Amino acid sequence: MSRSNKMFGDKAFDLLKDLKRSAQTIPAFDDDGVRQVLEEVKAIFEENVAQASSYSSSGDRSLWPLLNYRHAALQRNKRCLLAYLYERMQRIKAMRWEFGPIIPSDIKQALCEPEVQFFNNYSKSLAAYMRSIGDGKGIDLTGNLRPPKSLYIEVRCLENYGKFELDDGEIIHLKKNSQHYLPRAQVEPLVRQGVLQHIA
Amino acid sequence: MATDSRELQDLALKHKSSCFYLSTMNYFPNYYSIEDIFVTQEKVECKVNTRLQRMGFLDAGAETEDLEPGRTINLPLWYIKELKVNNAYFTIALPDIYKNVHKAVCEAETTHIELGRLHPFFYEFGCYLTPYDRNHVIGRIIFETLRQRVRHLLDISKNDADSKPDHRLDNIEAKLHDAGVRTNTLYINWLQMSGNNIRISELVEEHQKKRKRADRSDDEGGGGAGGSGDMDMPTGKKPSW
Repeated sequence: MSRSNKMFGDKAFDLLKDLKRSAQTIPAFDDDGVRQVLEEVKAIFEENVAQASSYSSSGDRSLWPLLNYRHAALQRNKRCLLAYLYERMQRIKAMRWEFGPIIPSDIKQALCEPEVQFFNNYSKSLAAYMRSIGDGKGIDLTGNLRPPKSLYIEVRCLENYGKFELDDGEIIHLKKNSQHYLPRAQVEPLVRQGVLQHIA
Repeated sequence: MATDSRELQDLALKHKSSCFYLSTMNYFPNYYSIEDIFVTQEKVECKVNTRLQRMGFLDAGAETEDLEPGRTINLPLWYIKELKVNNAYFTIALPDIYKNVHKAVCEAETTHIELGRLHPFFYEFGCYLTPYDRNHVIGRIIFETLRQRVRHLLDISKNDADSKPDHRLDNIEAKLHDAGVRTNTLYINWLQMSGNNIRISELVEEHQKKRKRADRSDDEGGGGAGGSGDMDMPTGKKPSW
């Protein structure tokens, strides 16, 4: 260990700092940072193993505090790494509920491969569960978050979305700034996605 | 009557969602708690009591490989926590901030203290330090401080929903303030029977804003100057990390 190096565990802490700065969205997965922390962990571990074996042969306790310190650093790095992964996982889960089964491509780029897999599996499990409840008909748990007051609502279109087909087969052209009076249940996802705005 | 009960249900639902924000705070932070990791990253001043072999790298000013007794060094809380309170290696010195607050606490004038500037994790950091406090004052100080300030906190969260007194509040207080503002708006919405519209999902909104910002900085061409300026702000304000 060189004298001038940073304190142990600082790199792992930087990962979390990055995560906290972007309050809700997901920053790009820091491959490099994680790798560096893992390398640090490995280096600390090897030093400790070497020292522990020399301790058991000589019984010299004078290096005990150093061993102890390195061990604490090891635990610290582990905690930071796990917290980093865990927090990202929580945010990925939240995205399934907020964005729906398809997440925007720029967010997807920020995820690493196992995280994309996790999202797909989570999405599948949730969909399977929602199909299985409600007397065989299935219930969309992401809908009707507020109790509906009327069957139809007035909405304004915020972007050029294109054609939208209602359950009864009617096709509506959603053009920017156009207003429509539509069945609440069917347009709720579009309002949540920011395509429509609920005005009355 | 039927609508009334529905409104109530609605309110209960909203209340639940505001509680969610608080549920991330806990007396006993869990292993994955990022907040707790932030608190334990804080440095504490320690005096070295015995010669510690080959630990000189902890002391930036040391010339030897070993850590000499009598030196004062800053150690992160995550290491201190692992040691026994009265260990033979280090004596922990309590930070001055708690002493400074002590006077204000006695005079019951804590509402004007800019706690956030003093320490972003005033209460949580204090909790960790109580075992090392031989005079048993820190525990009383943090308890009294919050007791005196919580009323004021309630007042400001009712009045100004927009203007957030940033550096006056510590981390816990800022969260309580957020929850207060949120609950208050929900309550007002409920009284006015408004707010029943379907709203855009918060994450989607955040994402759209971010995309718009990105578009705008692209238009300006080399908007890097503005962007990096924004980034410097928060890091410059933080004390030790």
